[in-house]
Amino acid sequence: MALNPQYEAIGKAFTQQYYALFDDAAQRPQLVALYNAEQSLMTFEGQQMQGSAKIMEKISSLTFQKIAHLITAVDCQPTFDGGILVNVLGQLKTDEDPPQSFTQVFVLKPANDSFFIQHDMFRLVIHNVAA
Amino acid sequence: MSEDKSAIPIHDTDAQGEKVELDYDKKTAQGEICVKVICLGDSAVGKSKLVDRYLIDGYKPQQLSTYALSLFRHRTTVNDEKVLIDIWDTAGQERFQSMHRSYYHQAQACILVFDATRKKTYKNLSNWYAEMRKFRPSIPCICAVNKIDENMEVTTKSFAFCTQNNIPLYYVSACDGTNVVKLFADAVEKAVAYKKDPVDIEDQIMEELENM
Repeated sequence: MALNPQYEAIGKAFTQQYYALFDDAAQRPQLVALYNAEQSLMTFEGQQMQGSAKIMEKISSLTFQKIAHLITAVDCQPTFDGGILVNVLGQLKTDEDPPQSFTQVFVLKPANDSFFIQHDMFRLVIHNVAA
Repeated sequence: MSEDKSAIPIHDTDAQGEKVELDYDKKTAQGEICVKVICLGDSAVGKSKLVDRYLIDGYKPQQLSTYALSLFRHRTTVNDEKVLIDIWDTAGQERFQSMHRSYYHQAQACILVFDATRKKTYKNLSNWYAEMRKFRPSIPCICAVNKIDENMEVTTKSFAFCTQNNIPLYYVSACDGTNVVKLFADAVEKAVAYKKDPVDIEDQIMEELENM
């Protein structure tokens, strides 16, 4: 499969849609449609899971009432199998907590004229270990 | 000790005004005893609001965002001795990950907080407690049920978690201030007492070294 020339537009549109769903508690369950039942891998703060069910279980176990993502930068690259690599740098705010930085990486895999999230890695930017 | 490498460097100022790394096992550069009190409990139970209430009026915590914690520094006197108190509060990181062990490092007292209006936050106390005990097996621990102004009925109840673990319970309200000063004053007093007579082997060694 060739490189997808639309990688930039697709990656950015995906990012926007992903966080719009995530930040709205009522719509958050719809994120399940963006993952594949078996072929999606997530690493959340080092914790690994596979498949949309396990991934959604993790997402819905998070304890905040409100969350807002603010995107600082989105970098995209086409992959040689027609997919898209997306790297997100941003800040998030949960309830009344001070804002925190985060980084999230996605690999979007083409399937049936669309894409699903094949890989998803999330980390808060926290440096607990003294330099 | 290798564990020290994971400790968050909290700064103190020496007599020359230079920043030096603060070690809670030692005295400050000004000769004060220094104690570290940590707050634990679910998100939105009012941990930060309790500290705010205790320190009153426009006290600005030091936001250590790269470490995802808020640090409230306060100076007081306990039994005629000058004490520097650092109250550590999580800054929401516990919503995503478990607490880093440096949060527990050198802590001399722990305040567990739950919410009078949400049962789940009481149920989760045992998880917080178990994790804290992995790192600090014998520091004094007290418990606060917050938001009693919203649920006065709770003050007539006793809580099995506290009685079973022999943890004193305080009925508090960050909103109207009920028992807040008492909660922290007792925590600080217990922290100072623990520091003078530590039970953990590691702490005892530190104490001996300091007295040499």
